[in-house]
Amino acid sequence: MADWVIETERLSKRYRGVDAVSDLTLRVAAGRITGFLGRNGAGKSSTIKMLLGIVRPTAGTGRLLGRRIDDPAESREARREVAYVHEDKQTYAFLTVAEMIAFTSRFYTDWRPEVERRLLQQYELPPSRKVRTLSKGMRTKLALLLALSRRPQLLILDEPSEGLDPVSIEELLQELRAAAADGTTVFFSSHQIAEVERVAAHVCIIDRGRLVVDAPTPAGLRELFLASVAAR
Amino acid sequence: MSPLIRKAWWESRIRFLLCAAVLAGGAAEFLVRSRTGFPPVEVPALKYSAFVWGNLIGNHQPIVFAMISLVLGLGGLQRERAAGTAAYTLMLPVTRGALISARALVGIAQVVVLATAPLVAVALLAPVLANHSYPIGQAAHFALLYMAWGVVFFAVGLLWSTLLSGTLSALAACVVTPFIYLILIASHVDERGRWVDANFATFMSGMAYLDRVHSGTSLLGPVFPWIPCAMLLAVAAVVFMLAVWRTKRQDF
Repeated sequence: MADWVIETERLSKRYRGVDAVSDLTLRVAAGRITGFLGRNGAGKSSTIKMLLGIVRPTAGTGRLLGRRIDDPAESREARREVAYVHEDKQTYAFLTVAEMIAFTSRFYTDWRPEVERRLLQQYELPPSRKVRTLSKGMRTKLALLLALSRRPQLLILDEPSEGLDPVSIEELLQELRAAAADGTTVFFSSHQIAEVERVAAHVCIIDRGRLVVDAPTPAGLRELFLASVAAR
Repeated sequence: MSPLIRKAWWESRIRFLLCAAVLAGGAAEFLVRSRTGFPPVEVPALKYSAFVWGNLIGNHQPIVFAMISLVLGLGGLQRERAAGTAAYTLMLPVTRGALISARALVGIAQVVVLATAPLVAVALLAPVLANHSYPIGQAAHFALLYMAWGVVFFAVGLLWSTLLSGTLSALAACVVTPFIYLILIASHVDERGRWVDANFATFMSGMAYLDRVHSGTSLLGPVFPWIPCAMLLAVAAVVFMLAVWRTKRQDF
């Protein structure tokens, strides 16, 4: 495993004249939970999408698990080792929960059927229900199940707790701790400071597309966050 | 079966089944009319093959099939972006080229089925249900003409689906594309027949290749346009490559 699972060098993304991410140089170490904090629209999702090849950088470079993010073949190889929960949490509405799980599991060799069964039960997801009939919270749980049923090198989650009730958020945080204890690096974005504070060993704060903090999670994360985004 | 092929089928099956229902309904209605309304009183000497041509091959049928083929090309990542699933799909460890190729394979198979099934069904069922016969070889050859241009229109639909993000705008493009194309091409087809294969309505209905000796039959003559068919497949391949090129450069 690379020492840095995520490395970016002056990564930038511009949408119609607006900088979403600007000169972002970021390094995420292997084997720990890193929180990626920022306000809405700070550039968290754009950064993650660039890392995964979903969005092309306007400038700069980056590596995911040692593979170049701007090379489609290398990006595809990196994605084999990465599980991702995207901000929309949408999966294919025309499939049932069981079909969605079966479809996803066929792409990965690190699928863990026993974890899939446990999460299916824990999240109370009805296997025969069409995805389109699930509530927002249930869709989020399905997206989490599809990511957590694997044993990837890197788990990237974009606002994973959005739409979840407090009990489910607690269960999710426990899953993240368990994944990290199992050797998976976790990188998750959030604007919920309390969640990050509870599980992340390291924190990166982004504001208006620029990295403003890259440090071990301090005791007073809320104060650090407010100070770093207010300073700009 | 590859999961991407299954995904492409799942996404397009409703469109395909609706199109199949339209064509099957037309063929069934024609078979009923063959039994009760053939020959028509106004043309008592009309050959059955000409009756088939007039109702299932010529006239407005090429335009209908062009629209159907275009609609089969819709969907894909732009549609997924609107549905919020594009990020999930693009996270899968496959290339964008593989995603669009799976759609193309399924779509081409659908075009082949829709081009073949109505004519072959009529050729097989007309002797049983209507006491008339239509040569199955002719049905297969006309189906090939439909397939050749159908694949081109499918590829254009695929390209539209990468360029237009709105479902309605892509659908509107599919409806108007055959008409705009016909207007544009009309000025290039001259009296000597040059560019005649570029007119999809003329080509699909086989107008330039009908048997001149037995002119009342509306059957294809001995020379089948294999080379124009191959050229149309090459055109479809180029349009498909454009769609792939475009998809590889898009943000989702």
